[in-house]
Amino acid sequence: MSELINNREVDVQEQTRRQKMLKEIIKELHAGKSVEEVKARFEEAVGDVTVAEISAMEHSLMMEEGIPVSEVQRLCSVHTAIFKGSIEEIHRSSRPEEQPGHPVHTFKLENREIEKLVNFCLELHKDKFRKSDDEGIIFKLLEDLNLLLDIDKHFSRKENLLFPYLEKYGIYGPTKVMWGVDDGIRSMIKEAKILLSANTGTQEEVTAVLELIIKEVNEMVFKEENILLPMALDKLTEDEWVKIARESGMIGFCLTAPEKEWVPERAPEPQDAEMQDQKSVETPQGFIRFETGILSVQQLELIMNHLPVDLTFIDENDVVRYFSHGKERIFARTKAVIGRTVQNCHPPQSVHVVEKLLEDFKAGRKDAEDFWIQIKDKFIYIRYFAVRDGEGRYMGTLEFTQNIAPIRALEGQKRILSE
Amino acid sequence: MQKTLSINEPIFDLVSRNPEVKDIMIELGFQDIAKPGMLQTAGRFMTLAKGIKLKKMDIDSVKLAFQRHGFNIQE
Repeated sequence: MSELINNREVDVQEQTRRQKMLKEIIKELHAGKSVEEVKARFEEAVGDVTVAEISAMEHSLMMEEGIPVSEVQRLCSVHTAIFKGSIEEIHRSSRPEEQPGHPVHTFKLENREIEKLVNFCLELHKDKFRKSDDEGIIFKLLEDLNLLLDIDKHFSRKENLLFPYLEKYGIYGPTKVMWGVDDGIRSMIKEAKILLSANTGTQEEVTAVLELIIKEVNEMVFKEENILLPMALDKLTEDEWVKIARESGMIGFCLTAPEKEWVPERAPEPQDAEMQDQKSVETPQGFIRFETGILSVQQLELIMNHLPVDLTFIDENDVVRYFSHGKERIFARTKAVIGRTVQNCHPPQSVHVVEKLLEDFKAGRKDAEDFWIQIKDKFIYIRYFAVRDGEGRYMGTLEFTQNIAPIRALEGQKRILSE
Repeated sequence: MQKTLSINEPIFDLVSRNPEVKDIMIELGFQDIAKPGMLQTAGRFMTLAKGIKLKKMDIDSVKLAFQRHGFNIQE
């Protein structure tokens, strides 16, 4: 027992000693010594310093030594050079939900945009509409409502990614109730659009619907942030949040998007250097020489987006490299999926199907596979092709998705000459 | 003898101690509290203060309603 107590004392002593040294080094830097001068001594003396220790040290610098906050902040760049980590890592909030890319952070980020849209734009245009229902203001309202329809993605992520986990923990009632309200908001937005575009509603009717939308959306934001999200944070494990964050890109984001992928502190993933490069490079302006012609990058991009099919390409390492983004994409994709492996972009239930298919492609057992599904009025034909080079080496997989309902409905014939 | 309720305490706690609080709240317009599972889950995060803000209620009339039932709301 006394052993344990002793150990603790030694630990505490060690920590204070380290903090004292850190403080001295920082003060020396402050006094004008160069980073190089103190760097070696720092590494030798301290070794692996934790973020918590740096924070504690900064705090004591401010409190005990009276160094103003602004000075400590100025020192940050020096800290960075020494501590190897980024400032962001040092000052990273210890609460995961406050870190960019965490699903809760993203939900809140979207809520700020939603609030701006309903409380400023929609509110303002609604008031103007009440006074005058001329074309211009109707157009503005329709524009707001079209933007607000994006809320569907926010709701869908909540319902399809977050609720299942809450239900796993036995929380059914609130999720069902909230889903019902979400649906109500969705249909109100659509209803308002119809009233406005068909010009069937009276000024009072439309204003009433708009007011209801504004009220319900605000209440929903409040409920999410004061009840749902705190409750979810209380229940879900970090692993579950990581899964939600990974799958979020498939559904998409509302009016904004997380600035980056969330990497929990405990499990840093190796940064793909190639991807980093890609991000920093602007869209190239040049030309691409093919065997059968030359296209500018812009022409190529336009061609890809005008094909009446959705294309997604994953490379030989299963990393999503490209998707076309035509007007009517059947399955939503967001830029967040680029650079991620395809396994991370599929829900756990269907990932084994994807893996089996890729295995067959890589082993050369298959070159193509087709699926077809009926979704409402669309008949969706999904084709996968193994992409191979001249020597037959596997270079990746191309997903080719098309709504073939209009094609299947064709009958008889139509010739160029027939009127 | 008036009982005191804190405006910032989770509703679940308030109701656990004083079951009649639930009925007063439903009467005031917090119908969601009656739905199954709500009190045990959302109720742990929801407080009277938040509820009043959410429903844009007048805090004084809420206080009055509780006072009629013998509760004193403490801010």
